[in-house]
Amino acid sequence: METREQSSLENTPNPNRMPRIKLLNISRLALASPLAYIIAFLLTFLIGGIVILALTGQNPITAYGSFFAYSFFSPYGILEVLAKSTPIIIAGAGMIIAFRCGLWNLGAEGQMAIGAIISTAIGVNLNLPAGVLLPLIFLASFIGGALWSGISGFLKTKFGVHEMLTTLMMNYVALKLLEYMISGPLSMPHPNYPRSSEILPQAQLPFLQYPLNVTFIIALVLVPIVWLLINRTSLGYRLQAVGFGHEAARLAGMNIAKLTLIVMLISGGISALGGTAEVVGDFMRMERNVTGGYGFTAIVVVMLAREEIIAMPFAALFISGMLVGASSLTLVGIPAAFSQILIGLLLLCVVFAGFIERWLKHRWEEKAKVVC
Amino acid sequence: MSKKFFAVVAIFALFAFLMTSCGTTSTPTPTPTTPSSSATPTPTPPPPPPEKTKVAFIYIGPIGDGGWTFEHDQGRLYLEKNVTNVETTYIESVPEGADSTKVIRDYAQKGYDVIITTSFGYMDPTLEVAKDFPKTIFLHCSGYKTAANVGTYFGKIEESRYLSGMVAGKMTKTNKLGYVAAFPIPEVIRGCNAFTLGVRAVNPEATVSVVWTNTWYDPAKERQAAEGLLDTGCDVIAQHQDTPGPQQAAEARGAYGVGYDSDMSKYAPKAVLTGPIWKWGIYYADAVKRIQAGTWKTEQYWGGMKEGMVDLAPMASFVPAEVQKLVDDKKAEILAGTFGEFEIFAGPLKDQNGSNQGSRGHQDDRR
Repeated sequence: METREQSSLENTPNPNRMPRIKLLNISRLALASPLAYIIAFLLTFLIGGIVILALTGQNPITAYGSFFAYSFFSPYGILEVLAKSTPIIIAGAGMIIAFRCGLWNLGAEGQMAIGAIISTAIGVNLNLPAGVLLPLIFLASFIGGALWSGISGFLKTKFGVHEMLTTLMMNYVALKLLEYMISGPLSMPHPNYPRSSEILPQAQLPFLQYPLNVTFIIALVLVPIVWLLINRTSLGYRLQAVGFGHEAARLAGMNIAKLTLIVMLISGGISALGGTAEVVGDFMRMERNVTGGYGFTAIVVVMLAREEIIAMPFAALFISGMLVGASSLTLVGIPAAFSQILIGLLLLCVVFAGFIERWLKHRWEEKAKVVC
Repeated sequence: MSKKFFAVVAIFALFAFLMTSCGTTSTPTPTPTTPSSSATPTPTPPPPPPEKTKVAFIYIGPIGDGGWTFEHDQGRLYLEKNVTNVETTYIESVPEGADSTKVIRDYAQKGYDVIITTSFGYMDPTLEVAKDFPKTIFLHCSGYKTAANVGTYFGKIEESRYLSGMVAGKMTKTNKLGYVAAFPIPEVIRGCNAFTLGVRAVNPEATVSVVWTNTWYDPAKERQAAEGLLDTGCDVIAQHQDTPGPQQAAEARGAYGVGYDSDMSKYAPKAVLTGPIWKWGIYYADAVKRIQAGTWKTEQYWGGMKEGMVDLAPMASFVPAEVQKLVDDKKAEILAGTFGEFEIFAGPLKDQNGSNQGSRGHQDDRR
């Protein structure tokens, strides 16, 4: 403890040493993070390449080429990637708020389902003008999602049940509820298949260019809003403080229980809008796979972006590119499921990259000390 | 703040890196083709390229599902082998709904002449895309909506279902049979009823319990549903799913199973008695030939055992000879045209609440 304090004291005041330390600290240590990421990506595609070669005998470079060529270099593919990233970005934005507060809200999939159910219920039944109907759909979905994840927040604050478990379990409850809704109360008048009727025309948001919907812009607008919430409001300041250290925040006089509840409400509310976007901007009705697993995908995306809201949309685009590219994999004789394997690998490698980064930083810091 | 900045930079750098790496990888892509193109001139000079019919198949599951999609893909390969000037492609695991619209539209834009969509839930997406591509022909499996350029096709699987029900009805000891079914929609209910009527024809005491999984393809869920039925004392498990999961569950408990889609005996050799199977290739070859000849018109194709569209998988060696003979005789009647869907669903029919559903003898409301 003492030595640490000493070293930090040593480091700060001496003006002679400053430039050198600064150089080492910033330029080199800053490299650790991108370097670790590059290693993670290389490792992912290297392992993936070996798997391709071993299982199918295909040239991995050709396979990757067609994989990314479609997603990122064909006009329709790019639109598809942007469209698919929409619910992921929205769910990710909601999730990050909780993650930054140290709350593992893994319930985006279920919250999306709740959002979808509420949007459909209103969108099918309430014949109001678009100017009233659409805000109502978004607001009601937000409240529904907030209350749904608020259950986990309540269980956490009241009984200390870990939110990771409850949010995860609540996903399945919500998805079952969705299944019930499409074959029961919200099913078509003459059902031939479990799904709802189409929502009213004025509730359907227009396509910018098919398949890209206006909901993508909503997702993009949400990102700076969440950034402001986290970085420029007192709530954001407090939730980050709790995220950094529970005990410290408590000693600073923060009401952690209240904060936990508020954060879970906001987080779930925003994630639910992902389901709304799918209903009013893609499916125009509710079906079994309306949430499409995007709530789970958002977990990977948030991890990949290291809980940074500004980086998250880029991570979302990348992952959605991998999902869309899966279709072109079958063209070169590789099962479409391979892209899921690749995403899983990437997640593992990014976690591993965290270790590399810490190790690199540690090493370089040691060296820096020695040099000084 | 700086940490955040660098994270952003890192992501940007990664994108740049991946873009450039893609750019470079795309250049070597042609290289593997150059040796092959340099090798081709030796045998024959390139023949004048005839206009190939490009056919795309949209699948709900992976081609390795051992059932529904596997059989469609066998049909695709049959088409490639038996019809000249055909080029096919396929895409696996396309979810029904909005996602499938994107995929179907993509293939239409790519200029495919025929797009074959092989799941019920692709019905509306297929029609939606077909509106915008009047020159493309769409064939949708198992639906009921058509358009000038959208035809549907399906088979009288109830014929094989009825026969498989006869086998199951003879083999059960507990008189309790289980049926793992995907969705409560007409196609599945029809098959389920045909199976039950087949069971009852040889064993009036037997009951058939149904579990709905609400999924076409989910091996784990299909298995669990079968296990639930086995727990209630069922000793034969039939199914309407895409994989052999329910039969494997039956085998693990020493019970019997009736497969579907494909001859599933290799997945559960000790359990599978037989099963209704599909032979899509015959239809695909026929339809594409007619499209090539320009004689195709929108239709609702519904072929049976006689047309070769459906069949009964070979019965297992442990099915007693007299049962095999009984079933074979019935099969001969179907092939001769003396026993068909009107006889299968002949009244009087009662639903599970005991109320009459049809009493008009052979004149079922199908006509």
